[in-house]
Amino acid sequence: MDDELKNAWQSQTSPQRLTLDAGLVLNEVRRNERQFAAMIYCRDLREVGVAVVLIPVWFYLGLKQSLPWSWYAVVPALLWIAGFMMIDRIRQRPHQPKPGDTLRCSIEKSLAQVEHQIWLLRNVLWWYLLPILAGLLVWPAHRTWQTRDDGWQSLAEFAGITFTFILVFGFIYWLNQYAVRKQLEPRRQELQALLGSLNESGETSSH
Amino acid sequence: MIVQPAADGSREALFKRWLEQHSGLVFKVARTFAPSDADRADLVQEILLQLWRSLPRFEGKAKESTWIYRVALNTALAWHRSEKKHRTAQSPLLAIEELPESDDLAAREREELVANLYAAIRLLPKVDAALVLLYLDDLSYREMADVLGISETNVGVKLNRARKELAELMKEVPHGR
Repeated sequence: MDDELKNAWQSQTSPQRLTLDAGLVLNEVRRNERQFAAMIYCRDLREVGVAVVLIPVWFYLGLKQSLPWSWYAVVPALLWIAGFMMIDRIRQRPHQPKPGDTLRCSIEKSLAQVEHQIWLLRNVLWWYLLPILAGLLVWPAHRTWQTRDDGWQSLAEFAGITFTFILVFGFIYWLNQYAVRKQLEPRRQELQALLGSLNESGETSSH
Repeated sequence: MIVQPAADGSREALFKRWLEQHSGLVFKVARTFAPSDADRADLVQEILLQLWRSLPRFEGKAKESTWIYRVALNTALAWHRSEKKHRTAQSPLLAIEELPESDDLAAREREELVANLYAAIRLLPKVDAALVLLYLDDLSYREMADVLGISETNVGVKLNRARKELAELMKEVPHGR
């Protein structure tokens, strides 16, 4: 039975003819490689760049309107986020799966990547949302303190701003947790199942 | 044969030679993991792209076919896992043309057997499907272990089970491509 299957398999002729033009393929893989490199560069730039670009914008607005020191409290938070993302990206780069890895090694690396992404999103409150929120609220709090003679009105204004920010940031937090549940967790389970099926005869990892 | 890490000129030459000599292997992997024509073309393209990227890391320590299997199977499993991206090549890289049925009865029977084999392999768990592909192409246990990154003993255990499962499935599967 096995020999018959092997013979048929090895001498198989598909009901379809698949033809490749080597020159075209070569041009395409080169084009694709350039696109890939550009995509990675743009992604890194976008993730870190948003925080970096906001800093001069913040200074411009603050100087133009002669705003007090508390306006700039968000700048350290933006620097922290840009630095955190950049260091995280650099640290994760060597651990990405590479073509030519064994199947097991590739799955292990992909799993580690997905788990790291889950960790990042689960902790987005601590490294992203809370520093920004705290920085953003310093200025309205300072203003409320300066206008404390107005009484309840300025306090209500501050409460309104705080509530709005918390709503917006709460929604961003929820979106991140939704992505973990809907995209990353299923992918992690799939990778764990694949790794499990490679390991299931009781073998431990050789990497 | 020991091959030096591919430099610019040799990278292109080596890639072209791989296309000539091993494209059948790529098509087999694509046909296993991507049942429809559109998906298959997409997967072939992705495997070729990954093969090109893998060239600087190829040092000739592994057999070429073993290396290509590694890249192809990794890509096929990752492709299956993630969203399918229909790449837009400027020109179609892969021409798929339906062939007329062969008049030769033996050839027709063989085609049917192969089609059933593909259909059965697709029903196997993914790792087992990968293992059966390697087995059918007559790779040694050492080579299979090298592609999958597991021990030869583990290959033996898994292959035994996968072959039994495949034999059962072959009795049940309807005809498929």
